[in-house]
Amino acid sequence: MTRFEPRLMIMCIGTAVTCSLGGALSIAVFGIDLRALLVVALVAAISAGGLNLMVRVRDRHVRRQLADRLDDAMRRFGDEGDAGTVTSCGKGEFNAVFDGIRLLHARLREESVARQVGTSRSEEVLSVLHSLTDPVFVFDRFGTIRLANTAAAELVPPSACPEGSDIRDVFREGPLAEQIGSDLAEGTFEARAIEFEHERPWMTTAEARVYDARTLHLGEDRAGSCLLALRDLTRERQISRMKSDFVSKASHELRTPLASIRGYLEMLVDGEAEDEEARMQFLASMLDDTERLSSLVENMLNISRIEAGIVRPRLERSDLGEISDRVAQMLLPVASEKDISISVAAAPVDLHVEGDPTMLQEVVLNLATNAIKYTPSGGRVTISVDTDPLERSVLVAVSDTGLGIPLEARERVFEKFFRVPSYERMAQGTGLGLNLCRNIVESVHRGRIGVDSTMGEGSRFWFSIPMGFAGARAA
Amino acid sequence: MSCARVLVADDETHIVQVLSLKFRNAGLEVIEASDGEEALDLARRMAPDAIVTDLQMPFMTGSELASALASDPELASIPVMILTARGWGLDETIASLPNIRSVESKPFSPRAILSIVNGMIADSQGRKKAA
Repeated sequence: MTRFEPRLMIMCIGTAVTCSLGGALSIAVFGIDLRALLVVALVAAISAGGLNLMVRVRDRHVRRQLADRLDDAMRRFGDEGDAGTVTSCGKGEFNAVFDGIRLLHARLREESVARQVGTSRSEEVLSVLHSLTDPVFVFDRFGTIRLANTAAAELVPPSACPEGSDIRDVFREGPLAEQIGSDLAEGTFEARAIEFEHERPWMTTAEARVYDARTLHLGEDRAGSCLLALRDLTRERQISRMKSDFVSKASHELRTPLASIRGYLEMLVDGEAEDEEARMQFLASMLDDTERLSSLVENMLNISRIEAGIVRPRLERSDLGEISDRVAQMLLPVASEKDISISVAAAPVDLHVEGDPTMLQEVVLNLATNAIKYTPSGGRVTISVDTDPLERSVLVAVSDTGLGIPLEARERVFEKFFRVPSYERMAQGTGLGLNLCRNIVESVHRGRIGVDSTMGEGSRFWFSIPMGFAGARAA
Repeated sequence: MSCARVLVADDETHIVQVLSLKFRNAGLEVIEASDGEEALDLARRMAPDAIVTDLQMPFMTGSELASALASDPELASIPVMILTARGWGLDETIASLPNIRSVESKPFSPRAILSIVNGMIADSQGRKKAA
C-alpha cells in the first residue's frame, strides 16, 4: 500500500483541479465573499470524500487480489476446500488476509517439520539397521543390492562393496543362491525361510557359518524390492553340538559302571561265582561301581547347577589351612594303604578367605584324592597353604611325586570328561572332578586354578581364593 | 571249542573281569588287555580265535585296533566284537570293516555276549577248515 500508485495520483490531481475550477467559478459569480468560500469548501469536501472512497476501493481490490493469490498457494498444498482456503465470508478482508498468511505460515512450518522428522526417522532406521548383528540386504528386481547393513558387509570380501553389486555374486551356490536366482528370473518373491552355509575364505577362521535366511517382498507390484534378512545360527549349532557331546560322554560314563554291575548281577544269578570269596568279590566290585555312578551323577548335578547359576554358596570366613588339615586326615587311611605320605604345610599367617567351606573342602579333597590315586606307591603328597600378598589371596597347592602330565594334556585336564590317557591304566575316575573344582574356584569364588607339571617328577595342582572376596556368584 | 582262545580288551577292569570269568566258565581260554596297543601286541603273539574289545580305550581305540587287525593278512580273519557305551552312531567306516562281526552296547548281558562269541568262533573255525 505504500508504493507509488499512478492512478491514485491522477485522482488526487483531478480533485485538486475540480476544487480550483469550482473556486474560480464561484469567485466569478459571487465575487470574493462568503458564498464563494462556502462553494469552494463544499467542492473540496466532496472531492476529499470521493478521494477517500476511491482509495478504499483500491485497497479492497488489492487485498482481494492478495487473498486470491494466497488461496492459490494453499491449493497447491493439495487439500483445497478445507481449513486451508482463505475466505472473506463473515470476516473483514484484512482478517482474511491475515488468516491466510498465518495459515500459510503454519502449513509451511508443518511441511518443514515433517521433512525434518522424515529425515531424522530415516537416519534412525538406518542406525538401527546397521546396529543389527544379523545381516540384512535389500535388493531390487534386477538383483542389484540397494542396501546392506554392516553385518551384511561382512559376508563379502573386505575389498568389495555390497551396495551396487549383484546379490547373486554374494551368494553364488547353495539353496539360497538357487532360490534367489529362481525368484529373480520369475519376478516373484515369496516370504520363505531357507537354511544354508556361507563360506568366507578371506577370514582367518574360514569355517563356514550357518544362516537362516528369510526373504520378504517389499511393495505390492513386481517392481518392488526384496528384503533378505539372515540370522546367524553358527553359535546355536556349536552349543547344540557341545550339549550333544556332553550327553554322549555322560552316557558313556554312566553306561560303563552300569555294564559292570549288570554283568556281576547276572553272573550271581547264574551261579557263576564258584565260592563265597568270589561272591564277595563280585559284591565289592558292584559296590565300587555304584559309588562311581553316585559320584558321577553328583558331580554332573553340581557342575550343571553352578553353570546354570542356581548354586547358593554359604559364604563365611573359612580357614583354608584348617580345611587342608581336615582333608589330609580324611585321606590318611587311603594314602597309607598305598604307602603314600600325605602332609600339610600351612604358613603361620592368617589363611582365612570368605567362601563356602563345604565347596572349598570339595576342591582340596578332589585335588588330594587325584594326587594319591595317580602317584605310585612310596610317593609323597603335600598340601601347602600360603598367602599371595600381590594378589591378596590365599593359595593352596597340592603337589605329588607322580608320573607328571604331558603338556598337551595339561591344557585340557579341567575339561569335562577329559582323562589323561596314561592315567587311565592307574585308576578309575569320573572325568568331572577337576571340572567341578574349576567351577567352584572360578565361577563361585572368582579365584584361579591351574596345574604345573614335570614329566617323571610329579604335578602341582593349585588354586587361589581372594581374601577379601565379597561377591560370589549366587542366584 | 574247548581250546578256543578269546582276547578281551577293555580299560575298565570290572568289565574285563566279568567277561573273562564268563568265558573261562564256558571253557574258553582268555587273554586280557587294558588298551588297544596291548591288545594288538597280544593278538600278534597269541593268535586268538576271537577278540572282544571296548570301543573307547586309551592309546589305541577299539576301532583302530580292528582296523590294524584287518590290514594285517595274518590277523585279518580274526572275528572282532566291539563293545560300546556310546549308543548309536558308530562310524560307518569302522562298521564296514570286514573283521567286525558284531557291535554290542553297554550295559550288556554276559550270557548274550558268550553266545555271540561262540558263534563267531564256530564260524571262524568253519572257514579255516573249509580253507
